[in-house]
Amino acid sequence: MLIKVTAPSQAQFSEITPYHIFESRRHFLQTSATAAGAALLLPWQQALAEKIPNVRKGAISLSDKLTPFKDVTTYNNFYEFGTQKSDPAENGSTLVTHPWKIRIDGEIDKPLNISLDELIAGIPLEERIYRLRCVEGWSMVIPWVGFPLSKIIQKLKLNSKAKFVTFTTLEDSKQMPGQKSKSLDWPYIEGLRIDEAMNPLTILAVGLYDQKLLAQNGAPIRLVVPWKYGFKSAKSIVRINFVEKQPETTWMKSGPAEYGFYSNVNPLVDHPRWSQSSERRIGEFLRRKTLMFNGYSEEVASLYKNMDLKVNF
Amino acid sequence: MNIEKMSIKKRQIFKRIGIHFLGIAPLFVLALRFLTDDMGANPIEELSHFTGSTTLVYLALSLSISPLHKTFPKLTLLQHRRTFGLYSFFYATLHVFNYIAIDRGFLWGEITEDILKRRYIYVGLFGYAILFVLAATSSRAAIRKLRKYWKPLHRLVYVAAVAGVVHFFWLVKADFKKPIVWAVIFTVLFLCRAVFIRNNQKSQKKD
Repeated sequence: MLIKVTAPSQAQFSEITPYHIFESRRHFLQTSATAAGAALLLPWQQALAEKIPNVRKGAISLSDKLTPFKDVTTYNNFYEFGTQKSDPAENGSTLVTHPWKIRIDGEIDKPLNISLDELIAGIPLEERIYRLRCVEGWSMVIPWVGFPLSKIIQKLKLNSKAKFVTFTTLEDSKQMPGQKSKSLDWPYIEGLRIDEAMNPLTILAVGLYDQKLLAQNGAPIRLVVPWKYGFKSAKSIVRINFVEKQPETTWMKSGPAEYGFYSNVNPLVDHPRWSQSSERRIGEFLRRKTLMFNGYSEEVASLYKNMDLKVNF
Repeated sequence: MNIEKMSIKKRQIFKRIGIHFLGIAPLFVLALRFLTDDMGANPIEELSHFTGSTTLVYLALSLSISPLHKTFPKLTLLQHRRTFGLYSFFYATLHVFNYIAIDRGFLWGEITEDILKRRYIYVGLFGYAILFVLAATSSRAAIRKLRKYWKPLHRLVYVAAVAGVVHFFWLVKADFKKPIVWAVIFTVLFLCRAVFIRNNQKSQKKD
């Protein structure tokens, strides 16, 4: 009798897993591995927010008490992730911040597409403790990590028509689910006059509390203009565009009578629907008086001399 | 004594307890949220939003009783319409108190300026004034005293609802989803009521 012995390497046809089943098993293993990994990682994510090394401390400081990290990262206006204050922290995980490209164009000699890593390579990062005053009447004190916007602008060759600069936030409803709703006219656009952009207080921030920015705070790079209402400080910036005419910003489009181009913090000029004379500092019980230019008059008041701030609100 | 009567009375009591429990449930939710540190970074603002929405919830419940009663008379809900209305007034009072005492810290100068200048404040206060009058005239004695004036007076509750929704619209910055939902809810309730009133008048004419 002849017994056919097959080598173990020679698989019989019946043993072969049909390709589609093989694929679906693979898929199952992959997804369950990802899910297990995510389940392990999620509770750590907050604690493991990436630390930024070599931050120069005390560049600009404040005696005000810092707003706790938890409040800074859970109470946010970032309508790209939803209009509730808790939405950005809850929905921010879909934002992919690496790699990140930024387009710099408009009235400059050479428009460029540049990765964030290239853009900030060699620029020393410093801590800036700033007040942040929201147009809604609340405020925080945040230790940002960043660098003056002027350091970037100085490297570019602006032409004589560059009078203003606009900042555009990423538009991608897959990464920013709040954009599925038409609460604002996407993409979000903000802008500054060039002298405002060049002011030493104006920074591009990449972190806070010595950690890389989380999505809810405008990762991976955002503007911080501490003497203006918070909405002027555009988040998750993908484009910096130099223009000749004063741009129409997103909030100006949304409510032209309520949100002006300048939007400087000013206790004497009310929002049409509410007073701006006082604010609630997050974590404090009693309201405090709002300061002219959010307390930065010395540094910025000269930018607006001879201007009627009631007209140019 | 009739056993059936007893059980009906018992059922009534249970229903009343149940409705009051529903009425104060938001207070438990609030207490729990405060205890578990779940009020967020700005608890005073959160308290304001919470009491404001709860006012609208109970106002809508109270307004839905009449159409529900017409559709399901066996549920004998009509007697609880007032309870829901009073709970709405109760949460509106908390809402106003939170604004005056906690948010503004009794700074009457600022409060007066707000009332005179801020449309969302004065329309809200107007709605609250109506609820106040309705609550004050909700007793049986008041119903007897006001006689034929009671019904038209208490139909002002619809004006209060409109004021509440407009108040919401006027304080929102850009996302009008929630006030729109409330506007739809109250419009539906208003239409239900209008249909029932018209049917009533028709049947009265036939009589």
